[in-house]
Amino acid sequence: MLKIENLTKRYGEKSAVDNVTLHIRAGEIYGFIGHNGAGKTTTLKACCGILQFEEGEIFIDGASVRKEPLVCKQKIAYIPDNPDLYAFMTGIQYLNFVADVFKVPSAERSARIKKYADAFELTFALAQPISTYSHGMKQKLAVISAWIHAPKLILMDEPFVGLDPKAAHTLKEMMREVCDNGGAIFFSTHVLEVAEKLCDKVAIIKDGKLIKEGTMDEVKGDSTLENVFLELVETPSDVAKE
Amino acid sequence: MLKTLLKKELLAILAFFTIGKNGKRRSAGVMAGFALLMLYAFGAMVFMFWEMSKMLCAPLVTTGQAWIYFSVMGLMATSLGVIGGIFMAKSKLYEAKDNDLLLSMPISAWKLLAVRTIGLYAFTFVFEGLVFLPAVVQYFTVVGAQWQAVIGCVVVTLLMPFLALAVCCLLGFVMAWMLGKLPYKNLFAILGFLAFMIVYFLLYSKIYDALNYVIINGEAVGAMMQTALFPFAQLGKAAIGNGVSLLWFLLVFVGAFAVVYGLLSVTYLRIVTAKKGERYAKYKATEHKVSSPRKTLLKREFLRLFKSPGYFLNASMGTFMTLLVVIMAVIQGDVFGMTAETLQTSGFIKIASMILPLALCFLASSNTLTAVSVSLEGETLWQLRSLPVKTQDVLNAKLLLHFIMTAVPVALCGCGMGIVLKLAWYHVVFAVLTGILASAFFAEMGLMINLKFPNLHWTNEMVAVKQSLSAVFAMFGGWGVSLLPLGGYFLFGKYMPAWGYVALWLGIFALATTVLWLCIKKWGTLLFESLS
Repeated sequence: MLKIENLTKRYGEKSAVDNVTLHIRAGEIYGFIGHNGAGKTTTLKACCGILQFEEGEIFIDGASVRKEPLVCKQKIAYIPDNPDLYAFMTGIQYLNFVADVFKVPSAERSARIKKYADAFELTFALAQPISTYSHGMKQKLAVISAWIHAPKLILMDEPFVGLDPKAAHTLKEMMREVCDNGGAIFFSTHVLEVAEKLCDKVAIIKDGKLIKEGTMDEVKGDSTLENVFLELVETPSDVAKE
Repeated sequence: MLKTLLKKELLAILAFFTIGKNGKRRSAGVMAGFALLMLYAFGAMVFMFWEMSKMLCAPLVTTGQAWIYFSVMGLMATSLGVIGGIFMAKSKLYEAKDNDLLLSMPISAWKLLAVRTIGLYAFTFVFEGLVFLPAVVQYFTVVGAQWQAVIGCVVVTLLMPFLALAVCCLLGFVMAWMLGKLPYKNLFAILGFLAFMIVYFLLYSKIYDALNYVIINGEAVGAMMQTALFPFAQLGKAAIGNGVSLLWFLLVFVGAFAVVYGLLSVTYLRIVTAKKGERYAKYKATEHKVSSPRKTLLKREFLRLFKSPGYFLNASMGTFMTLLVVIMAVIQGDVFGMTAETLQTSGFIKIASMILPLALCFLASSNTLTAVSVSLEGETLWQLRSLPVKTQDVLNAKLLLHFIMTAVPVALCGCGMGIVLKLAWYHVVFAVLTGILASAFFAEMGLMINLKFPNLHWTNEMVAVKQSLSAVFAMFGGWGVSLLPLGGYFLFGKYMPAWGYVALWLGIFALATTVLWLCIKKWGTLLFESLS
């Protein structure tokens, strides 16, 4: 579903992502783990075509992000770490805007809006301007908008930040549902426990370099990564937050 | 406590002059420019009211009606004080951003109210002073110094703002309360502003007629003042030194404020801590209307425009000016008609037929919608970039918004003015076509400038709208371009037939619009895609 081949992105002299290669198959929830500034967001942005990169290639369902960006974007959804949504729209206007861009038929969008807005208990606020939403409500709306066109691949940057425990649980169920239906999810997190419980596979990135990938057991079984894990271990309060 | 709060108020005033909206300290050059701008604005207003005082003072003083002079000027000063102070009262007294902070501290509500009212008094005093101080100086220039009048004028000048202050406190409360309840507050804000501008221009156009009426019908105006505008009649008499009227003046002006302040001081805490009656729109699931991606991108642009009064009012100045010209043409069509006849009979018909396309170009150049539309994407740019839409379609939506907002009123204005000026039909067609092409050209020009000089990292969208380099470049560049046909006329246009000269510019605009369109297609899309 997603093939990242030798991706390199530089900011001046510094390599934010250095020769990263990753393959994510349909049906997989793939966690991208790393501390702040490791290169997770840069990789995700490059995958969804909003950040140009110097070297390498990214393919989504066989299409090149660089050569066929619109074909790729039609198949994916992206949720950034801090979803700045259009404050001048109401929640429902925003969902309709995204649905129109993805050409989602009226009946399908109505059904999906009902399903996911009810699941996140956001239906009551859909007629309100986004400017009045809390961070968590914006995050929920961003998730609903990502799911509205039933994408094959969902890219998410720290998706659980700002969500209450119930909403986080709902999102995890939605993620599993996507993969059960043949889709794939690639998301970043700096919380090891989230990745451990949710992901089929994980990749660890440090200072722009991919240092290990595989199932959680494979990755955790690598004794050379002990220091990396120690850096990523969260305090109980941080875990509870997510 | 009061001293600390007053110090905070002074620091806030100082920060207004010294700290920019980005939170950084203004440079010395910017502060000097700001000071010059303020000086110019205040100077222009003082000059205007000085001229009005000059017109009114001597005729009324020589007929023994000096009090009417001060009454009229006092009325104007109080009106300006209310207009200037009402929005300040709304934001400063009832919607102050530091309410939560200050109210969580052990500060009495009356102290908070007192300090904020002092700030508001100073503000109202400045506004009223712009009118009344030139009037006082004018009076003493005509009659010379008289001690009763000096005392009267000093007391009146210092205490007159209290009436405006009382009105502002009340109306500010009503406005804050109403705007909290209104369903479409942005629309009301825009309509309110437009209504205010129209009333302002109408009043301004009639003010000298009104002053002439006062001079000619002094006695009748005086009698009317004594009954209908009693407080201002007493103000006028107090200013020239009448002791009894001074007491009446104090009773009405200071008394009104004392009553309002008394009422507010016992209810202030409840007012500012009350849950705002924000209208909560309830979502009802209905069938969703599907739009094409291109149409939905255009809808998004319109939604942003209509939901942001600041963006709408600043970037659509040309639209408002054009509509104002249309309204003026309807109201004062006879004046325009007379002008047209004068031009025709005096042999200047060639100029008349060229003024219209020139004016339409100028009006079209005053809109800066595309010049800020890229910057306005700000931190939400990721959305457009991650969606499966062509960059060209995104830019087209921005161009189309600008074009519709500019070309439609410009075409309407061209047709209307063509009829009023009694121009031949082909002159009107040429003028309207020039206006429409100029609208397209300026839309493209603004977009290219904004793509080259975007500001995506703002915290307040007004920074992108009002303080952006691209908006300034587009506005002044547009005016410069729209003046080119005028310069060209004196160089070579006068040797050509009027229709030929206009047709030439029509061709130039068509060519320039096509070239710019190709530039946007080739480089504009690349520039947009490289933004981050």
